[in-house]
Amino acid sequence: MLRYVVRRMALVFPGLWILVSSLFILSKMVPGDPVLAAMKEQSELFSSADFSVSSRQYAQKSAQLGLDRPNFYFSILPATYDRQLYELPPFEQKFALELLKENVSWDKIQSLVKRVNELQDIEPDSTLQSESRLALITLSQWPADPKVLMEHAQVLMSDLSLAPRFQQAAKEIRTTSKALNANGGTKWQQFLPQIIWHGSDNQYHHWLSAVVTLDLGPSLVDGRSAWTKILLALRWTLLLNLISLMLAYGLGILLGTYAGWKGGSWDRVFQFAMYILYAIPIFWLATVLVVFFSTSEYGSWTNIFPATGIWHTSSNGSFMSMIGGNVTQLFIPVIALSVHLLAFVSRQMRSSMVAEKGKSYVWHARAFGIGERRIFWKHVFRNASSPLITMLGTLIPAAIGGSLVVEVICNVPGMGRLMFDAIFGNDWSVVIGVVLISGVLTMIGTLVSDVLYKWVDPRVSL
Amino acid sequence: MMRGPTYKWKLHVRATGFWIALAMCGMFLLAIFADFIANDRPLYARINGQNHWPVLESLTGQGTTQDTLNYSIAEVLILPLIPFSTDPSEGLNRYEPPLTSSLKYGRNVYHLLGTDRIGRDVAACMVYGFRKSLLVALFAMFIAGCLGVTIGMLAGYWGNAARIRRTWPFIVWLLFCLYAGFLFANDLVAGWIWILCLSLLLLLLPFVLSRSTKGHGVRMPLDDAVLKSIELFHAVPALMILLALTALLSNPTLWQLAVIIGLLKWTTVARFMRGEVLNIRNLPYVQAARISGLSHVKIMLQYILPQALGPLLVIFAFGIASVVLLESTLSFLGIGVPPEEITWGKLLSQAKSNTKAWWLAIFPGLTIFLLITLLQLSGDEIKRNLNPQD
Repeated sequence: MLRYVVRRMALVFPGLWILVSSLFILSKMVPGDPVLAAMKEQSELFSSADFSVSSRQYAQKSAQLGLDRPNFYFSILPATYDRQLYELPPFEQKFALELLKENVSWDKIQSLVKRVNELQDIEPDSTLQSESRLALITLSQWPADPKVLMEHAQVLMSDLSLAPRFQQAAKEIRTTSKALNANGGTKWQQFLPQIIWHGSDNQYHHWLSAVVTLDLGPSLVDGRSAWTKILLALRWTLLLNLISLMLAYGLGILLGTYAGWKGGSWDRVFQFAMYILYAIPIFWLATVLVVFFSTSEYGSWTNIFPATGIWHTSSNGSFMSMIGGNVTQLFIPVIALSVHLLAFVSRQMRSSMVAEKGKSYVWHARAFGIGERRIFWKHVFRNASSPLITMLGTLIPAAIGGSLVVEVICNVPGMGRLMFDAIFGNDWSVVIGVVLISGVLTMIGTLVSDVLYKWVDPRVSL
Repeated sequence: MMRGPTYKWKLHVRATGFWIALAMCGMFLLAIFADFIANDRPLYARINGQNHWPVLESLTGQGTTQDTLNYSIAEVLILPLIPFSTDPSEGLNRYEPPLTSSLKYGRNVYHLLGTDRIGRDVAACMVYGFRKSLLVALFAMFIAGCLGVTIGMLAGYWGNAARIRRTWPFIVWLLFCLYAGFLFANDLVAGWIWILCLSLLLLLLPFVLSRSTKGHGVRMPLDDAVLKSIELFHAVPALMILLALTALLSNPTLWQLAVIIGLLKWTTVARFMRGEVLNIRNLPYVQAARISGLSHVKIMLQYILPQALGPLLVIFAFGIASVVLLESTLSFLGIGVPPEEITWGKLLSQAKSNTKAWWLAIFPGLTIFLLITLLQLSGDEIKRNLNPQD
């Protein structure tokens, strides 16, 4: 048993590792530039006028976000690429990469990068001609097209008001980019892979170590620690799920056992009702309850439940007192959540009851003259209820998913609601935390149900 | 010439089965002919003795000239059942209750199920939303089915005893995949491909190294690997993964959403298929086929797959139901579904902001519920037909 638990726990970690890694991969697959997005969010978005700052600002921001590091421990690149590529700032890196794809040699790119950088030192003041000003702006955006480079360098070259060293630089850009036009053809080295080792200073390493040390960082929305936010919200989700699961199990076992044992017309009614309850989408049920039974819109008699969404969550009170203050708020979410679970549990209970009822040991017991009541409690019910324990493992993810929807509809300040808000606010540290927590909860649930199953039914070998 | 076993599809269609089949047919017809059921334009119009078929012509792409026609002076005008499209209708008729009349082409028409927040006809939106849900669900289940059947079949057929005589083709294949990845994604952002390949390599390497026995090739615990990965997929609630994924993709199209759902749903199909194949594999006719020296591929495709198809249909029906539920949940939450798409979930979510609009709370939810029930009923019915003794 202990060995089994340890083995299962050992499986949890690779699972979490794959989960975290795939989240990382996904965040890399997202189209769009996260640095630009972050800058936009903090309204640092540069206007095209202060172009020389913009490139530097970008580099600064990406360094601050840690996005200027390589993605992984190593990268595999064509042999023609140089490892100095990674030491360039982001804008220059993109520029060089574009040119590398066009088979431009690394020396030429390096000289181009150097010259264009030199040109960025020009003060964009009013003494500058409008044409060369435009050319400077275009060059500062690092156009990877040789033709564009050439044209704008030409303009700067012929601007006599510039200092001679700038003119020299522009001239060199022009000659280099002109040579690029004539250059072409594919080199065979391009198809040769080369492994570049980056060491542990990469984004993946930092990501993983942040997760391992449970340091998700602050929430991007309000700056509070992401974990505190999640744990505060988790209490409500756990409370909601616990009440619903208990209700569903209690009622479900009662109904399912009765229907399975008695059979007949009551059983048929039960089956029909549970079939319908099972197919009702949770979000529809919750919406209907909120719309019809928590407002006085449709007559006062339908206004059974208090209006949803008004939570008294004063920060100084204890959690127990908060529950006491919000009991009325929990009615609709609990009903909406437990109806689906109830249908699931009671159908399972009924079918296992029916299966056990027909087994030969029951007839054997009857033939021995054992009373019906004793057969029911001592034998049939005991055997029929053990599958309910394994079901707990599959019910927990369903309950967490279901509570997300219910929490959003009824404004419960739980984990699902938090996740929902975080997704809309691009609050990734919170989203990842919630996904991790729900993964851990599910794994614990499965583990506990497996162990319990073994405990109830010693025949089962784990 | 050996032939595969012959199957008789016994159709013990009961009365309920007949009605379910009829409802399913009606459903598909509704989805296919949605344009003829809910449309802004008349089905048929005779103007000055000339015959016009505006809906048909708009579908075949000649409809642009028809917009200039004045249908209100038509001698004969046949409007579709729901004479509205999903565009907001003219005038300020937002949140109109069901059976509100409005004027169209000089005739009195009714908003059968009322209008929504921006004055769209709810009935028309529901017809088109239905088509969309069904398409997404079928597409997602198609992807899940292809993946799940293949993986489940391999795991069930080979079990943990898959022997690979030669390891070098696998290593060559892996290297080739790595190289292909390198060729197609040789830029700095492509680090994720390497993480993927590396984790695959790490997973395979212990098996390649440790279980190698002289002369007997390498044993691949395929079954264990598949079961473990299914377990991993189930570790996090599907809705959570789906939400995180769709949010990461920022603006996925409905098809991308279907692909994501399909990639999440394969586990159900694979687990089921594995169990099914485990049973079929030991049936006498399969063993006879093995003894007669048929190739594994032939046995899998011609002997085992047809036998598993019937039960698969059951899983498929339930799977479609669950995809419909997932998709409508997502669109209800407003995450991952493009804003211009009209879905049932979105219609329903409008009821939250206006509690007066009971028709928005009732009808879209009711149709989701009915569709799911119908799919589950048909799954149960197929199951009942496959083993009538239960």
